[in-house]
Amino acid sequence: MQRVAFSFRFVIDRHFFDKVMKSHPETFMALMYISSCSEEYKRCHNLMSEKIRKDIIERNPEYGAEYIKSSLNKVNEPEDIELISDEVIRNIQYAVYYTKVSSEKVTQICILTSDDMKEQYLNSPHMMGIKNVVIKSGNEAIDLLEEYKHLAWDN
Amino acid sequence: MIIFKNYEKGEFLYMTDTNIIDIDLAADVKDDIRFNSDVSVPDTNLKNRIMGTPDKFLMRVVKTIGSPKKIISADIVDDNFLRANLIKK
Repeated sequence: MQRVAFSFRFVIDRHFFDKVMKSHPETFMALMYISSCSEEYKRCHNLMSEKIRKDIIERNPEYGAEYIKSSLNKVNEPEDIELISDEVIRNIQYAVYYTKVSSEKVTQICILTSDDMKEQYLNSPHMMGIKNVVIKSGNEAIDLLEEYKHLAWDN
Repeated sequence: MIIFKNYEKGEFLYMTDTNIIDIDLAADVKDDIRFNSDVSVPDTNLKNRIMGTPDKFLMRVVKTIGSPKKIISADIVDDNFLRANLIKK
């Protein structure tokens, strides 16, 4: 079986979908495969805010919804985080929350975004002192997804 | 078309008026057929094709709603399939 304990779980923002996934369809394949092969987080490895995912599906009716839903896994957000209006802050809080949600160990989270948004995450005061959340954007993010896909495929 | 929530952790099933569309590893689709009495594959050729698919491939499976859920189609999702089907025609 292709079960893999990946080093990072992902939090994915809308900019990654709009500016990276849409122009790199291979990222759908990689994300679907990672989600299906994740040892600890099968079908909930690639986290996205429910309301953002719903908005993406509504704004992109030309895409088969099953591919979006298989790539971007919805899980329920804690209510206090869901109320944060700033998307960057909300995603950071969301990532920090999910570093602690595992029962036995700290989970490393990687936020996937677009190149133009990366600095906003890195410069956010909410990232100060956060050790278990990293930001990857654009090609760097695509390379990580491909690496994970091959890790599972070759397992 | 409505969203169908099912899985204990996460969800990504999609349900039309008559069918459920799911994407999963062939290994898990095969386990579903072997061990889940609520899933059947009436078409023997389709069943043989699914059972002969290597475990590590992703499959797009269409099942009917209801009990038992009948698998009515299954396709291997690879780069070529995705390129042809990601955007609806």
